Amino acid sequence: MKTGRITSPQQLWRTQFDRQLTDEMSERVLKQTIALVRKVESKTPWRDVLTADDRLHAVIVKTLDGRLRWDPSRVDLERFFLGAIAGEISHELERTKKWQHVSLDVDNQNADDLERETSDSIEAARDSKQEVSKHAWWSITMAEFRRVAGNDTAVLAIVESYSRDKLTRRDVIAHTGMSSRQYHAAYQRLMRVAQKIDDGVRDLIMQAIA
Amino acid sequence: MTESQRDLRAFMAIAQASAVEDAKLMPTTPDIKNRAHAIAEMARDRLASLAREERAKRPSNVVSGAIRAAIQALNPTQVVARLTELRAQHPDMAFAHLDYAHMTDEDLRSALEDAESLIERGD
Repeated sequence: MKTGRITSPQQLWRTQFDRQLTDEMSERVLKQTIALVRKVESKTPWRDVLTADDRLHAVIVKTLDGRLRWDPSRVDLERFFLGAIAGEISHELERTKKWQHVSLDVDNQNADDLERETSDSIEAARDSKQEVSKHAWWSITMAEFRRVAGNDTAVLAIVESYSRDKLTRRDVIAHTGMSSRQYHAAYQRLMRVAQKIDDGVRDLIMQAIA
Repeated sequence: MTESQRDLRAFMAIAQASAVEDAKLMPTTPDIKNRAHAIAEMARDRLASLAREERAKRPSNVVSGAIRAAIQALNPTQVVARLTELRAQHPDMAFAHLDYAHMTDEDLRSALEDAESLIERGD
């Protein structure tokens, strides 16, 4: 034979992508996305205008055309996709927060009014960044989360790791110095706290932004 | 990073972790199955198309003229089918390539030419 097998980094990457992208994995990410959107919608006034399918489709396309960079040695494709979807929702939440004072009921106002209101809102957001962030929905949720977690230092340590972008089990363990067993136990408690604050927190948010 | 941004990261990380747990309890309906399959198919199609584009750009190391016309006339699917057939017929023969996915069309034809030549020579 005249040719040897060529394995460029791109080919290795594609092999990994192809191997990990199964129908079952797609099902899991689709369900995780549906659950994630429900979760965020239940705790914030944000409403998704896209479907879970659209979201998964978009991150796959962005990953394949290089707009999103997946490193197979760091994270598996399933987790990467959900993380990318969560990242996009996170940006939307921030944008929604900044624009929340702008009325989008264009039927009742002319373009000039809308433009003026929009500019005023941007100006106000620029002038009082502290105030915007102080009342962010996610900050209200996190304050409630910390209150319910009480003095469970291990749970709070995981939350602190998350807030510093240490999102994987490996990164959290490295950041907190917990043992694998301690992490596992704390993670279970964290899930229970998350479950506990599901009800009620929306009322708090609505009161805060009313 | 502001306090608010840190809170948002933590909020989304917890929402994400909870979503993974919730999804485990969610039934996989036929509708979800179909939708997931369509998305995975789309991804596989795009991946194959990327691989084809890259193969087309890659220079071939095949010496021109060394491949017989009958093989040159075959399309890649036919070449792979013939190689697979030869592998089944000659299990003792050593094939350099067991995975044809990353080979250029020219390299595929070259591999078939080599295999056919070896068989004809009785090697």
